[in-house]
Amino acid sequence: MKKPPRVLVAAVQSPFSGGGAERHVRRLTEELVARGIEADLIQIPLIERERFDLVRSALVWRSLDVTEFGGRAVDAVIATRFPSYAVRHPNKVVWVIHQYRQAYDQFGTPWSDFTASTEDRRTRETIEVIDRLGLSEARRVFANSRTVAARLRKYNGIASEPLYHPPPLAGRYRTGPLGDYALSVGRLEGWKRPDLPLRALAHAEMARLVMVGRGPEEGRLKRLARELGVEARVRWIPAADDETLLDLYAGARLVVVAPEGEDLGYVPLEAFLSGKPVLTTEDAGGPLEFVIDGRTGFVVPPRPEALGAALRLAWERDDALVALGRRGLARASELSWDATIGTLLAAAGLEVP
Amino acid sequence: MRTDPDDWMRLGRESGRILGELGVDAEDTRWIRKHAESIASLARRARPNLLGYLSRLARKAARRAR
Repeated sequence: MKKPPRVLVAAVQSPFSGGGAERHVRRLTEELVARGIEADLIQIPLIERERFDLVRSALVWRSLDVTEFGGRAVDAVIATRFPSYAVRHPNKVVWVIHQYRQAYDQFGTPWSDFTASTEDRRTRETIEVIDRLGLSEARRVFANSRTVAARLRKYNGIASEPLYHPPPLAGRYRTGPLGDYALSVGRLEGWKRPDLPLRALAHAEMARLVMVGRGPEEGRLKRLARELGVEARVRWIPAADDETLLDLYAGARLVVVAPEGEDLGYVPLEAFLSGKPVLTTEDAGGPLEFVIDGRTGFVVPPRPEALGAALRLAWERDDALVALGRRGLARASELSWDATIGTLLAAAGLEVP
Repeated sequence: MRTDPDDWMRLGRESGRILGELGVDAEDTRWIRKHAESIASLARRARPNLLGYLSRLARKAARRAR
């Protein structure tokens, strides 16, 4: 009997702060296994205490020989985040989840701590070399969104193809009646702009907000809610297990996603699969690939009063919200792991057994 | 596990070459020193001159790889 193809998923681990990327690579590995591929996940933490740690992490990946294990060849490697794609393999496919953004599009913004120092400049240059090397030798490069593909082209001159996939709990999201709260899900950190939905509440007196997530901005946001006088209308949920999250989506009125330049963002897809429209901003990045103003949600300028106006509308127009949610559900339902896995395997010259 | 001193030299040369491939320059002396320290820390009883020797090896290998 022919042995199933062996595929390694190469990913970066973030100990104690596993987020969407970690869930994604686990799910990718599971989906490969579910289709008869002998797949496994290799993860190495990305240490970021000092600049050289970034180079050292790439060196670790580059030093690995993953061409065979236990006397059997590895047929393909699917690498994902910086610097896992520095790994060497003759049949490497890269599915870029995101680059080291602080060195690229976030450089010069409050979200990057890179300065003009010689070491920071050299680190940025080295990251570019690592990206060029790791990606240009791949058999094919995919990006998880058009936004990420555009960055690869702009900063590295590398062509890639957007490849979407369903969100982590695909198959388990459920719809429910319109609730009485807007939902915000995500790490409470600067570039995700969790303050925007809070500030929007001050412009929409009837709206309530559920904030799911924790992060470095938590204390500041709670103080902000008090200062804005909206704290009584905000419910904070630092961590939600899967079932709680599914319930929160199903029971929401709409979902607010207000990051700046998000890579893809699962939240809009999760909202859609729960039948809820999404309120996002014109500079949100990845979410705009799914959220179409007036069709599947609201797209407004990144200003509290604009988000507030959209919230007021959402609390007045049940019929419109239901229609937006229905179209979002149809759009997100088009994504399937069958198609995604088929594309990745075909790029590696493999087939589903 | 017993290791031959040649193993450290080989590791120094190989990893120096990879650093060069990844964009590290022989002039990035602080990084190369740190890297040499990592390798030297693997040696149970480092010879006093091992660190300096590894640094030179890694720099040379990085220069060649560029």
